[in-house]
Amino acid sequence: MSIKISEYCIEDLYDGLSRRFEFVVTDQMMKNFSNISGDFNPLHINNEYAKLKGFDGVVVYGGLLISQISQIIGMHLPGDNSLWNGLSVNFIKPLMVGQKAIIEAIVVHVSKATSSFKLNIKILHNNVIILKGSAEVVIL
Amino acid sequence: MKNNELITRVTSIFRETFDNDSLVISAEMNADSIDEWDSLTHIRLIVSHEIEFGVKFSISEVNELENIGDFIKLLESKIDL
Repeated sequence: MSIKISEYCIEDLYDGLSRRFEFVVTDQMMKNFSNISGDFNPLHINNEYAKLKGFDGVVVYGGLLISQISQIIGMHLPGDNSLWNGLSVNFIKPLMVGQKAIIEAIVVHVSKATSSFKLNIKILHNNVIILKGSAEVVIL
Repeated sequence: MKNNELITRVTSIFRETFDNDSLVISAEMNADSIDEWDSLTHIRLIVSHEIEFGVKFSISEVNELENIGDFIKLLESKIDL
């Protein structure tokens, strides 16, 4: 998959500027993430186990949701020349493999003095928030 | 806002940023005074003050700062004391 990288400068940013995209976490992404992270917790790889624990199926890794935050910052807002300085997230509800989700990021504070800004981030499934957080981003 | 209230709020931001509940700041202190005060921490400090006090700093204002005393004077000039 090829995504064009955005090239926002600090002067281009303003409170309320936002970006969003839809994504679906696949079985292959889950397998890849288990190998990358070394996290083979059965809640994320064993359907029967996850159902016994009260879920509809294996639960998407929180780290994979954070990887979508990585994409929205690194590729879309601001894209080129960005560096995370901080991230805070709360996982509100689980996401299952194959479910559609939408990630939204909105600029809430721009600091031209430090060439940095704060983003509020939400991930939604069926219009329900499943992740809420904020990130501090520097434009190098 | 009175000056001592300002110092209390600034101290609170420094303590949270450096994760040090006993940190005491003084006018003469600067980035050389605290080991953890690196460039990214500096950005977090400036941004935290902008958000806490509802102000914005310019690049030149920040570049001219020599120490915490200068920073508090700059902050005072932007808010109603």
